[in-house]
Amino acid sequence: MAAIDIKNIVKKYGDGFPAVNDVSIDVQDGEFMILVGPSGCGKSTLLRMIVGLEDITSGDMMIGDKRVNDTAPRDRNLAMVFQNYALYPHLSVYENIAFPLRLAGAPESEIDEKVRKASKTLDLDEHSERKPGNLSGGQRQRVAMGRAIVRDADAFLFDEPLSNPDAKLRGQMRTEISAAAEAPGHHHGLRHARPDGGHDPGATGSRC
Amino acid sequence: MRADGRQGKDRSRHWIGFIAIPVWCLLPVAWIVSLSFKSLEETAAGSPQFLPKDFTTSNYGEILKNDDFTRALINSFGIAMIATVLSVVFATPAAYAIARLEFKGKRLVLSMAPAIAMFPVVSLVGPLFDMWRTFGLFNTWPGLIIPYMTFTLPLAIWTLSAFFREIPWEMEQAAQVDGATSWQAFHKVIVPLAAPGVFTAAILTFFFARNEFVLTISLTSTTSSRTVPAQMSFFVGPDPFNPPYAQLATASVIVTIPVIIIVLLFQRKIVAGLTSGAVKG
Ligand SMILES: Nc1ncnc2c1ncn2[C@@H]1O[C@H](COP(=O)(O)OP(=O)(O)OP(=O)(O)O)[C@@H](O)[C@H]1O
Ligand SMILES: [Mg+2]
Repeated sequence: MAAIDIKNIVKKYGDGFPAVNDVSIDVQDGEFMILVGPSGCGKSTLLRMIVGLEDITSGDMMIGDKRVNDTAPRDRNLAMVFQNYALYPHLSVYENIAFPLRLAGAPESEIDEKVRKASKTLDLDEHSERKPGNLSGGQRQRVAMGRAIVRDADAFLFDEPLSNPDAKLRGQMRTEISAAAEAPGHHHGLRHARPDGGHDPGATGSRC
Repeated sequence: MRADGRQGKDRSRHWIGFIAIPVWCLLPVAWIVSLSFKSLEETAAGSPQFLPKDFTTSNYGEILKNDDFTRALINSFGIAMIATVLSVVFATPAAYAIARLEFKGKRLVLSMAPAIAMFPVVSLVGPLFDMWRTFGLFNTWPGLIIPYMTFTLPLAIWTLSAFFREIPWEMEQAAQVDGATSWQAFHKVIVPLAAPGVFTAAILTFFFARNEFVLTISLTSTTSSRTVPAQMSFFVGPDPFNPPYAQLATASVIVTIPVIIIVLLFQRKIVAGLTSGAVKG
């Protein structure tokens, strides 16, 4: 639903280290964009600035036509999969995925429908009632994916979303990410991969 | 072969520990329970046996009719409860700050907390005795609650900050991205994860406060604020020539049983690592 325009963004962390140095990226509405770079080059930092979790040292972050430098994360309407997933350990898989919908006050029937659909796509339906602590790494990652794709967000940010699942699921998730990017209303996917990490050259390669 | 042998030995050692430690810990408890069901005559007899000869519950009936004891029970519970609630209420934000923020003196607070909690209470008694009489706090509930907090508060801060450091705070950010206000992120995500820690800290401080003896024996003079440990030392019993073993044992059982039940009930909650599975790990 919205373009993201990154203008001369600089990020210096507390210790003065310039993690992101004067980056400008223009992502069109509906565009599918992949950031690739060596470990520690600032991919996560950039995504966290877009989503509003990290202060921007200088430059402008535009979403749609609005400058969002000082907008709280919850008011930016972006979905993100964290690099380390950040699941809610006290909630079941179902409730983890339903969490953003509940916060948005969606009716129960809609929540149920969306969560079931996402669980099916991500091959999580048989784990609905389980807690994240009992899942494998790849399953956790898929829960994190589910939590993002159920949303009706303006943009979807995935921090290394395909580093864990096996080949079959990777294909499925790739399709899902593209579908999310192409579906009307979800005009925009910003994805972030890491070919250097050695996790998954195949998947990123086919995307690049 | 050698590996096997070693393993066998390890396992038998394991089992010895498995049996010996509980027996070592529980035998005195079993003895107290058994004592509490013995008659006065039996406890006065020279050669004791483990099981009561004639099983009686009269000790329980008697002690619960003893107004001094029930009064002490109320004092104990009330004083320990208030000290616990106050400690946890103050310690929670303090521990939160220690776990989340960088500030000057953080290390000092962290290293001083256990030191203060372990400070020998005897050294406080003399000055407190004089001060409390001047301030009118001698033999009152606040007169015990205030000094109790000198060890329950640092104890609570110490345990809570250890717990809070284990919480993956990134989930709070995930919640914000998911559309939560700060308050929603706090009470839907942080509180459920912090609750077991708060609960553990509360139980710990409650036990410490309830077991305290030196202060309560020194800073109280009547049953109006004397707690159970002190009150028990005043037990005379019906027979002035024999110590009231059975009654003491009964009193011990009465104050211990609720504790054991609470711990057993909530043990899983306390131990369960609720935060596992939040992050990649
Ligand atoms: N909280 C922080 N404080 C100080 N420096 C940080 C902090 N977080 C990240 N950095 C630094 O910023 C740089 C970029 O980090 P970032 O996490 O964005 O890298 P990345 O490209 O996502 O790497 P990876 O592919 O390994 O995830 C790194 O050099 C890192 O050391
Ligand atoms: Mg990263």
